[in-house]
Amino acid sequence: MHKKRFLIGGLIILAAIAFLVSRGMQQAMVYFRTPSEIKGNEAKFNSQSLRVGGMVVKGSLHRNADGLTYRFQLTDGSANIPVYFHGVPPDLFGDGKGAVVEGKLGTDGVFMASTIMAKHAEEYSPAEHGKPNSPKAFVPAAEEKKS
Amino acid sequence: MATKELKRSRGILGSLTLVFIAVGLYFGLVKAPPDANQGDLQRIMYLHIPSILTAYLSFFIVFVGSCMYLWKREQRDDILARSAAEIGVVFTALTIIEGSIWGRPTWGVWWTWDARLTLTAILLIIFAGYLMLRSLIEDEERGAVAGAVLGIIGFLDIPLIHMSVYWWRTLHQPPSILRPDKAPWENVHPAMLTALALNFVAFMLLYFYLLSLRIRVGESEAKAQRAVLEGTA
Repeated sequence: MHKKRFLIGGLIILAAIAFLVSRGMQQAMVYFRTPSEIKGNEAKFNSQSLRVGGMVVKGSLHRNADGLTYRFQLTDGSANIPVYFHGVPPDLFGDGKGAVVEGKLGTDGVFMASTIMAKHAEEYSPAEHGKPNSPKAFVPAAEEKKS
Repeated sequence: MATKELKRSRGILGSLTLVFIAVGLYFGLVKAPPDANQGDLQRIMYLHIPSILTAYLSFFIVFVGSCMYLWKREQRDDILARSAAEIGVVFTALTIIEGSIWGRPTWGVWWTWDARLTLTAILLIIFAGYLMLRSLIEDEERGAVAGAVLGIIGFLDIPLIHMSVYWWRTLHQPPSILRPDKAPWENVHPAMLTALALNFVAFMLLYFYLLSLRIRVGESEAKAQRAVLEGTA
């Protein structure tokens, strides 16, 4: 009897953990949205917290005179999203580099970023062999094959 | 095996570990060139990658020890698994700390809940839970069985961690070394790869040195417990 109760209690705790993990993983699995997923579906994403990942369109990065306000376009090759950011971005952020931004999509279609994260590539080399460090793919190949 | 002989070989392993740690530090801090994009920050890689690979190996040993224990019910397999779990937790925690220190200046954040980071945090929690479980269950045999089951389940997180960057969208970059499609030197410059390899050897030596010491502690504990049981019987 005692053993049975212990087992049921254990199973309930395990189920609770599994539920929390799977909920958390669903969030982690769609860690960011791509500009293509947002373009045309703006209403669906409006004013909810989300992340968007893509490359900063070359030449689109503008920094205001205060040095803390940034405007740029994020692209995944087929769609662009305008982004506004006020703050200090990481050192590796820049024109033509990969980035994941956190924030909210405004009703005007401009993404108001509260955090900018630089997405790094898996390549390392000394300065004289320096390659531009930009991720080759934002969406894993496994996912692209499926769709 | 004679204790004296074992002690001597452990001493040799310890000295070799110290030598490789010194060589690894020299190559990692001095000989290897700074990275084109990250500068000296990239040197954290020489600790970060060996740390997680050591943790992977350690939990693989937990997995093997746990399977062996469930099959044969021999105490030495349980001692092996429990020892490896303890050291694995240390190296997983180290990996997360090093990754955080690297992530703040590179990514811009200390931590983010992407699939790879989340699964690594889960690995740490599972095996911290393993250690708690082992210290809470007083009956040695029941503790060993429960630990073996948890140890096997916990190990299954590792393939998920490794594949996470291929299956899901993450902030963490794909692997530089352990991948079938590209040779390591295509991603990492040879001068950097040398430093990484030397530090990997240093970590492996350190790992087996620590493991042999921890197993020795486990054996002494088991011996003392047997003596107490026989004394009171």
